[in-house]
This record gives sequence, C-alpha cells and structure tokens, in this order.
Amino acid sequence: MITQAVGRVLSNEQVAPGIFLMSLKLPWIAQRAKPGQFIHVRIGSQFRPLLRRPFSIYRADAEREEIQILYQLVGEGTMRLSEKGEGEGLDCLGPIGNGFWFRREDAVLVSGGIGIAPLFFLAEAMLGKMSSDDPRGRGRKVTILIGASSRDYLMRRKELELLGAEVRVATDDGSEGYAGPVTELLAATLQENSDRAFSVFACGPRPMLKEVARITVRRRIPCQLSLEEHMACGVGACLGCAVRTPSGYRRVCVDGPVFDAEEVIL
Amino acid sequence: MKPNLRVKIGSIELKNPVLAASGTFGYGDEYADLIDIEGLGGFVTKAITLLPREGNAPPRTVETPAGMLNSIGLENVGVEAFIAEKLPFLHGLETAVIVNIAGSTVEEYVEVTRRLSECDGIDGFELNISCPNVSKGGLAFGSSPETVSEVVSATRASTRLPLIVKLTPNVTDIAPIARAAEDSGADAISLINTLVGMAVDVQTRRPKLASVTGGLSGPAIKPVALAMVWKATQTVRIPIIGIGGILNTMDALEFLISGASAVQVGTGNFVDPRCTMKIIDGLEHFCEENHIAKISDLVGSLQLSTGGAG
Ligand SMILES: Cc1cc2nc3c(=O)[nH]c(=O)nc-3n(C[C@H](O)[C@H](O)[C@H](O)COP(=O)(O)OP(=O)(O)OC[C@H]3O[C@@H](n4cnc5c(N)ncnc54)[C@H](O)[C@@H]3O)c2cc1C
Ligand SMILES: Cc1cc2nc3c(=O)[nH]c(=O)nc-3n(C[C@H](O)[C@H](O)[C@H](O)COP(=O)(O)O)c2cc1C
Ligand code: FES
Repeated sequence: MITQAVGRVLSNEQVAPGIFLMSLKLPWIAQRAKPGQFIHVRIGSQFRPLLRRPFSIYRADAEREEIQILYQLVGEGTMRLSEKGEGEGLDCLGPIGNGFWFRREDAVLVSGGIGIAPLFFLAEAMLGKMSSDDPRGRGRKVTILIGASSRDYLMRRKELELLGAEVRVATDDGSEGYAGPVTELLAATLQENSDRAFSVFACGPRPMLKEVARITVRRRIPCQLSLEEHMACGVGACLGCAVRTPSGYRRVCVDGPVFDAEEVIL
Repeated sequence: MKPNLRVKIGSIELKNPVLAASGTFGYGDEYADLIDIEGLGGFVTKAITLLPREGNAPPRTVETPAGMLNSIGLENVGVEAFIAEKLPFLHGLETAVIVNIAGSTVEEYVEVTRRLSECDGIDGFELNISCPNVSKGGLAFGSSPETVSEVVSATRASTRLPLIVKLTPNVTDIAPIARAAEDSGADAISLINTLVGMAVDVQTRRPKLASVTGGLSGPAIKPVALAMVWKATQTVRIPIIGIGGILNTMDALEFLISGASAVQVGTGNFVDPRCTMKIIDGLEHFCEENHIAKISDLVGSLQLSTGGAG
C-alpha cells in the first residue's frame, strides 16, 4: 500500500561529485520498504518543479524509522532537492512499485552510474544488515559489478565489501578496474561462472539494461531489470510511464519498476 | 451552520462541486488508499473506447513551465473489459461516477454509450470530443459545430443518462461549439481539455514526446481555461464544469465565480493526491468565512465593472 507522508530531512550531503545522499524520517515507509521500491517526492512548493520526482529507496532502517535516497544532480528538481536542509519537510509518496524478488540463490548485481541506489538495498537485504551479525546471507554469494564513468564516481564500494559482497569495478576512462562498459565485465563474469546457477539484477541507463538483457536472455539466465520512465502520478493512474512488453504497454511505476528481462521490449 | 456545498449538473446531484478529471484518476481504485474517494463530488474515468487501445510510444509525459505535456493516446481496456473488471469497484460508491467516452467515429461513441447504459453504477457520461474523427481526415470532432451536433445528437439518442460534452480549447471560437452541444441535447458542458503543445530537447534536437506534440495541462493553462469557461457561460444555459490548472481553493473559486457550477482537477492530483480534498475543505471554509449559505450562490457571481470605479 502506498502512503503519503511528510518526511523530515535528517541529513543531505554530497558523497561524490554531483551525487547526494539524503536521510529522511519516514516511519511508515521505512517499516515496509523492499529493495527496488521507490518514493515519489514533491520537491517544490510552487511550480518549480511542479510534478513529483521518483527516487529509489537506497536504504531503509525500520528501527530508526529512516530511509535514504542516493541521487544525482540532473536538472531543476534534483538541484532544488540538494538545497534542502536538515529539519525541512518533504512530501513523499511510497513505498511504490513491486521491488526485486529473490530467494537464496547466488546473485550478480550490475550497476551503471546512479543505478547503484536500489542495488545497494538489494545487496544489503541479500547479505544481512551491515552492522548486525545476522547470519541470513551466509553461504550465498553476491557479486556486484559497478560501472561508472571514472573512479570518482565509484560509490559505496567499501560498504558493499563490508557487507560481504564481491565487488568488481569497470570505468569508462579506465581510471580504475576494468576499462570499458560494465556489460563487458558482466559477460566475463558469466563466462567464469558458467558452471553455477545464479540470477542477475541490474539497474542503470537504458542502453546498458538493453545489453544486460541481451546477454542474459541469450544464456537463459534469470534477470531482473529496474527501469526508469518519466512519471506523473506515480500511483498507476495516468498511464504516463509506459514500457513496451509483448502483451502491450505496462506501467513502470506500479507494474514495475522491476521487470523480468524477457518481459519487456527495451 | 455548515455551508451547503451541493450542486446539480443536469440530473446528477453532487455532494460538492469538486470532481477528479478524466485520465488523471484512472478508474478510481488507484487513489483509494491515498484519499477518501467518497469525499469527492465525483470523478471521471479514463476515456473508454469500444475496443482496447494500446496507446502511444513513450516518453508520454514531460514537465513544462507550470505544466506538463501528455500523449497517452487513449490507452484503455475497452468497454467490455471496463464493465467486467473496473465497474464492479465503482458500483455502489457514494460519489458520482462519470464515464468518459472516446471514439474515432460517431458510431463508436453511440455503441459505447449504449452498451454502458445497460449497466448499473454509472451516473453519467462525459463525451471526449477532442479525439480525431477518422471519417473527417482526423480533424477533432470538437473542432466544428457540425461534427459536434452530429456526435452529440447521435449519442443523446442512445442513452437516458446525463450527457456532459467535454470541449476542446483548440478552436477559433468556443461559443458556436458550446451552442451546438447544447442544441443537440447535452445536459452540461465541461471545458477545457488540453491545449496542443510541444517541447524540444536542444541537445539531441528531438521532440521530448515520442508523438512530437501532446496535450498541455496544469497551472499554465488556467487563464485560458477561465476565459473559455466564462465565454461558454455567456453562450449557453446548461451547467458548465470548469477544468484547467486547478491546484487549490482559490483556483476553484475563480472558476465558480466565473460561472462554472462545478470544477474538475486533473494535473493537481499528480502534484498532490490530497489536492481535491484540500479544495473541498477550503471551499467550505471560504463559504463560512464569507457567510455564504450555499456554494451555488457563488456560481456566476462575477462582478463586472460598469465603468464607475477606479
Ligand atoms: C523508479 C525510478 C527510480 C529512480 N531512482 C533514482 C535514484 O535512486 N537516484 C537518482 O539520482 N535518480 C533516480 N531516478 C531518476 C530521477 O527520477 C531523475 O533523475 C529526476 O527525476 C530528474 O529530475 P530533474 O528535475 O532534476 O531533471 P530534469 O531533467 O529537469 O527533469 C525533467 C523531467 O524529466 C524527468 N526525468 C528526467 N530524467 C529522468 C529519469 N532518469 N527517469 C525518470 N524521469 C526522469 C523528471 O522527472 C522531470 O519530469 C529514478 C527514476 C525512476 C523512474
Ligand atoms: C495524463 C492525462 C491524461 C488525460 N486523459 C484524458 C482522457 O482520457 N479523456 C479526457 O477527456 N481528458 C483527458 N485528459 C485531460 C484532463 O481531463 C483535463 O481536461 C486537462 O488535463 C486539463 O485539466 P488540468 O490542468 O487540471 O490537468 C488527460 C490529461 C492528462 C494530464
Ligand atoms: S506515473 Fe502515472 S501511471 Fe505510472
């Protein structure tokens, strides 16, 4: 169920060039959020911007009743979001969407740029919470492939390693890790692990997701993609956020944002 | 004493003059967790066509200054699936349910209206005549008095339920169009639908909507809508429902004072799902503060200067 609540900004800091991490006090959402779900945020109070902006839930802490979002400066909305100070209220709808579905299988997570946001939450859920010694994730192997334009934009690497994930890195400019697109790193990883069963989970720019889908579908590896589309209502009413599927258009906001790679035509 | 917010649109009794506009409120259930939809005066469904429609390619929406463009392309489940899957939820709701109807031919409007008139749970119809008329080379039904008469009189003959005709603002003069709707048997008129608009990404030099142009809505269109509502009230005697850029109580009041008997909120639902609820509370407040016993007393109370003042 989606709820509307005003979240108090607890912190809002730059964590990489043009990337901000915001913590919000949102009890109802924090207690129910699943990895892959998002919140729809009213940033302005007047017309700039007019519509809400969607952001993946990057972390949710039910006990502290907090959620975090990790966001990149893109235009007016995110610019104004970055100016919000501690104590300010932010009108949010959430948690929205289906989220990722997973059991205890091994997993390869593929992140492009800010696509790390929902995948961090997923890795945390798969491996157990960072600071606790919850043994939930033991025995499961989670590999995360992080793609970025250059090393300055490689985010949350240490935190992911602390969680127990195997982290591999690709940068477009070769400043760290594999020099080239993260999808090539994915192809290599799949090759190395061709004797094991696992699922792939990906979030990033559309061309990257298209390539991830191509690679995994061909090898019959189960793969889930978290998609982005322009959104107006965010609750399934306006049909503005359409993605093509073999059986017609579906709504990214409430039918997704996570789709099986075979289910969508990108 | 609490002010009386009731208004009448033809034979439809509304508990208050605030409705949710077509295409922005789905089939009602999407907002049921977020607001008390029975608190609404009523709501209008997404357009229903005879057969299911796929809709347009994405991107379908883009924000523009104080507004947005959309090109959903009338995506809907079609009349039979609407009756089977959506109508049961609407049936018995304590709020007016108005079904928005679209078509490519006069026959399609008639067929959908006739089929829906056999069902319970519908309080009235709103004819969306902004749609392209296939037999007239794609020109909108609502763009000439002749085609308006044709589609409205044919639909009128196929139902006893109240008929609201929703006008497109993309015309030279709204007056003869409004008159044609009234003369052909419309119980009420609603306006405005979206204005044709466009936005371009200068980096890629591509249109921001896949369909190139789309419909502009939101606060940006409010002054245009208000002027058209006022013009329509000067032309016809049937009730008018004002639509366009309404986000708050003051916006709604402007329309009521200009002669609208009720208003619809579209884009405002996206900005804040509680928008309609806040407006209803705000109208009640305004009436109380200004000692207005019934909201219908406000309708058309626009004070036109006779030249004396100022
Ligand atoms: C389900 C979902 C989850 C997302 N999660 C995150 C996240 O965790 N972190 C993050 O940084 N970004 C995320 N995004 C993208 C984020 O919503 C956009 O970057 C943001 O809306 C840009 O707003 P703006 O006003 O700054 O940019 P502008 O470019 O000025 O925005 C103009 C319009 O385009 C829309 N828009 C622009 N880019 C996107 C986009 N990529 N996806 C959807 N709409 C867009 C805006 O919402 C707005 O309506 C997510 C998008 C979706 C759909
Ligand atoms: C996403 C969207 C979908 C719409 N779909 C319909 C529709 O199916 N039928 C219709 O008559 N009007 C439709 N409209 C028009 C609205 O009902 C309304 O007339 C218009 O948006 C102006 O009001 P507003 O400024 O309050 O949004 C749609 C508008 C939007 C924004
Ligand atoms: S954003 Fe309105 S249906 Fe998805």
